[in-house]
Amino acid sequence: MFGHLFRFLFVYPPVAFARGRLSLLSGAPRWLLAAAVAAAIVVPAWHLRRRLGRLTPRMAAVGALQAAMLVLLLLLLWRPALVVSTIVPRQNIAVILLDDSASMALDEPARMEQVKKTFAAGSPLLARVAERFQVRLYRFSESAARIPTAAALTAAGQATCLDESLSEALADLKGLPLGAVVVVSDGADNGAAANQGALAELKARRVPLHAVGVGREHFTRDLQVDDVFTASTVPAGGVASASVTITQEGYEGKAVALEVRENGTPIHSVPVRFDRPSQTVTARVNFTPRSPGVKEYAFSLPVQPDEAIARNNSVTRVIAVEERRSRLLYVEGEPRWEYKFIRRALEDDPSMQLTCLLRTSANKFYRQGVESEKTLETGFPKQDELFTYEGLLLGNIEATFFSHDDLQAIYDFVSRRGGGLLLLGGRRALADGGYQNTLLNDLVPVALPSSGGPTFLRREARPELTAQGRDAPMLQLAADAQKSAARWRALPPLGDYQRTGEPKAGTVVLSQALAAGERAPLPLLAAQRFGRGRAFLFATGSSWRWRMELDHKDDSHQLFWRQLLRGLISDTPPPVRVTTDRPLYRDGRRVEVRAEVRDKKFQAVEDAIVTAAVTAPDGSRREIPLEWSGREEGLFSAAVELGGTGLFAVEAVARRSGAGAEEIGRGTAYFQRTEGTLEFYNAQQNRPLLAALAEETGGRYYPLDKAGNLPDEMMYSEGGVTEQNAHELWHLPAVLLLLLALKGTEWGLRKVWGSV
Amino acid sequence: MRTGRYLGPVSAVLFAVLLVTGVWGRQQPFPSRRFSEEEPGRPVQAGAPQTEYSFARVIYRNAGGFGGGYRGGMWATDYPKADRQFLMGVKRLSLIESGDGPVTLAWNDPRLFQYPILYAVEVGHMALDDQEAARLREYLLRGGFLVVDDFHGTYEWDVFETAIRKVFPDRPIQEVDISDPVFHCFYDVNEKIQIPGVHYIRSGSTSEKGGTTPHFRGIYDDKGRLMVMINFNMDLGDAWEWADLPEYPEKFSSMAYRLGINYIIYSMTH
Repeated sequence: MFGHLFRFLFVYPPVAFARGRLSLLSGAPRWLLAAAVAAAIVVPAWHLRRRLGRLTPRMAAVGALQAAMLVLLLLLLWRPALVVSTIVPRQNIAVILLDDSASMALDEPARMEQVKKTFAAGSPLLARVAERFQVRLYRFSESAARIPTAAALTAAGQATCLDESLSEALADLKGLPLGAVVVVSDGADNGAAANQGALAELKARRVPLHAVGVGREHFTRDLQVDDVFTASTVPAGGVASASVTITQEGYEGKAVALEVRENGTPIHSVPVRFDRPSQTVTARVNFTPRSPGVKEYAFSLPVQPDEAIARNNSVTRVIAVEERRSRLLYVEGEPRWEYKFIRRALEDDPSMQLTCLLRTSANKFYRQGVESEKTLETGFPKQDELFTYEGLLLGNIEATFFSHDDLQAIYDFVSRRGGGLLLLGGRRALADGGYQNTLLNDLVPVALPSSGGPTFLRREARPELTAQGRDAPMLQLAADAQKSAARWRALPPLGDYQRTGEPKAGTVVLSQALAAGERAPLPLLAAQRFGRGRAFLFATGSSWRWRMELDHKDDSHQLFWRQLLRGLISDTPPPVRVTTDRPLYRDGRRVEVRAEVRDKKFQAVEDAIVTAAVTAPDGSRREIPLEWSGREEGLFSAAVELGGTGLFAVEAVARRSGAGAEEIGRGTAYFQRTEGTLEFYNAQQNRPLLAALAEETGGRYYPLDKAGNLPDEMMYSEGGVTEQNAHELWHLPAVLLLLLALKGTEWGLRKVWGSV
Repeated sequence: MRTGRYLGPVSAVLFAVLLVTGVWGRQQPFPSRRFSEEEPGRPVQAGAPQTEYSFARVIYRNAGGFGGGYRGGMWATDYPKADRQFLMGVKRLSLIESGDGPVTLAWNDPRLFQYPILYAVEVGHMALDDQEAARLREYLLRGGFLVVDDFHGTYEWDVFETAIRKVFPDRPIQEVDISDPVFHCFYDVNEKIQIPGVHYIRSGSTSEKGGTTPHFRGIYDDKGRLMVMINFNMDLGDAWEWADLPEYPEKFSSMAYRLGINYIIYSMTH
């Protein structure tokens, strides 16, 4: 309706005005026009004022209308025109890319059938395009290929790589006059992260890309597991945590079970409830792998009988359940119960080894959990030895116990080595231990007061989880969130707490201490990232009450400490850390392997020689050299094209360059590849993406059923063989209507007001 | 007539004197009051702990039904001087944060579990009913540590064993090997010597009631950690209490302090 009205009033389509520029065709000087316009406004106003002495509002209004009309007539005398580039008919090529991926088989009638009908040979739309262009049709999915007619579409492509397909089509037309590009698609682009090279080329050649959207923008009913975020490794016996993003449409008020399967066997499920007609929710799942090894975990929602796509209800991830024992060092400044019960909590945990250095008197240390007589023989370890640990606990020990080198080593342990530091409360700890005056102050997640007396108080305090704490996997005391919350509520009060200042920017407070006599809750458990590592604060020395004041069969204390310490070291990197750009490649073939290489001192190694070996599910092995990425010191990467489906392992070995080629370290990562699944995720028409593509290149977006104006608008292009046309505007109906409106309004006003 | 007039009051005074001396004699094996010993006074009942370590003394019922409560119980032997003198040593010799005086707790005290180490003396006279035994069992299984001291000879052992068997009917009571960490976690104790009571000054004998061989026995949990440390045929309490007495041999007091501090450190580390 709007389009027709616009064409009636302005003769030319909106795109002509959008792309063209206004000009005056008359040869008369433009300054003369300006002077005439000024005279048309100023002279009558000056004359009236002189004659009557003053200008009333009514006179001003009528005068303005007369002046406007005079100005408009003057403008028309100078012959205004719209100058716009249009393609020379039949001299240019129009590329029409038709989406042929599997998602085009969705909907009823199928998206592909709708496209075949609209773009069939001899169809009105295609015929009108053919009057203006030489038309070339391409089908595209993972790549583009020329087709004679739309009838060749099969909707069999396993991915939609728009940018790559467009690049291929443009390469095919190298040197030919390209006038316009039309992409007909549902917009479910799932190719590798687009470098937008093709779009940049179109923009440079001033060729507009028009997008024609196909398919429903929303399903009536559908469940989809969008993504799963989980650690790639979990210690044997530890709890794995996953955040599962789910999108649903049409299931308001329904609850479904999110099921976790380990190598096909159900091991856990959590309920997920939907409370809106359309929403994306995140479900958190904590589960315990049943045995060590590299396992596939599927996170699935049950298929509903009436949902649009059943094949997007599950996502898999590979987790390496490692039997490796992580080493933690616990330095305690005096004998205390917290020490004993932390040790007990970790005693049976095969994933962590707690080595302890306890100062029992001014000159005596008691070592526990040491691997040999030599371990910690000289007290607090030097940097090299300290860096062999993944986590460090500082108990009730004053800062002056440590030398400057020790403090620097602890600082580097967190910031450079990427270790986890846990600071416990105590009468010699935190502010009472003088840490605010050392370089470790930066590591403490909260501000430490520098005055005001002792901060460690032997008074009872209740622990309470914050919203972030309730969500934190490491603080779950039961698989079910409600049961976990109930166990937290059932914990006995702490016997002491330590006052601190405000949390620092970037700190997450996970638990607070509620104590009588305190004006506000105090940070009890807080965490912050620092450099490559992280620092936690646990501002009490009496969590042992959770052991001594609960039934001996209650394992809350044990669970708390095991999970907290696993969380502390979960991201502590090895010297050589291997990753891939994705954990799961759905149909994608390009895999980027990255290796972060550091030496024993955890300094980035720049001159390493890094080789990765990718082992495919069929046992075949392929070696690829990794090159320095140029992005970060010590980061090496390479991209490799892979086929086949299943579980892949990639092991990277880093060696020193030069003679000897001493090995720096090695690491392994796992990823999965599937085929034929990608197109079923996010398969609704992605209108925003299509509209953005069109807008970026100066084209327009059309829904398929409203693509009738496409041929006309394709004419207005600056790419290819074009000509500049000047369309005079004096004869536009809009101009005549404006003149009539001005004069009619003046007449109306005079009629109402009488003589002015 | 006159005699009869004073017979009642005199008899009452005599009875009172006999009663007091009888109780005194029962509490103090050494008959003389030549040495200065603090009067027990009203025991300090345990409140919320204000230091990491507290000398927490258990109030128990005497076997046979006599005694118990705050006064007159065998639990109060050497109280509070032994406790205070021991605490002085703890503070001077180690970094264990401790107060100056002891606290007392009955088995049913609601704060029992806030004191992870307990001291019970003269346990050759201790009785436990089923409820008390269950509470002590729970205490030990949660990680609590019990030190018992100052009982001697077969009879007192039998009384103690009867009581502790109510707690753990099946767990063996074992001789603690000299290599056990409890003897090495702070001081290296390489020899088991008999620590006598203060009667040693007069008698010259380290044993009492036929208990000639010193035994360091223990009850272990399923992971090989000591839960109960049994000092049998010994009197660490006297050795602490009379450490300031020139006549009492220093080597016994020294060993008693070493053992006592080791017990605390063991209980805080295992």
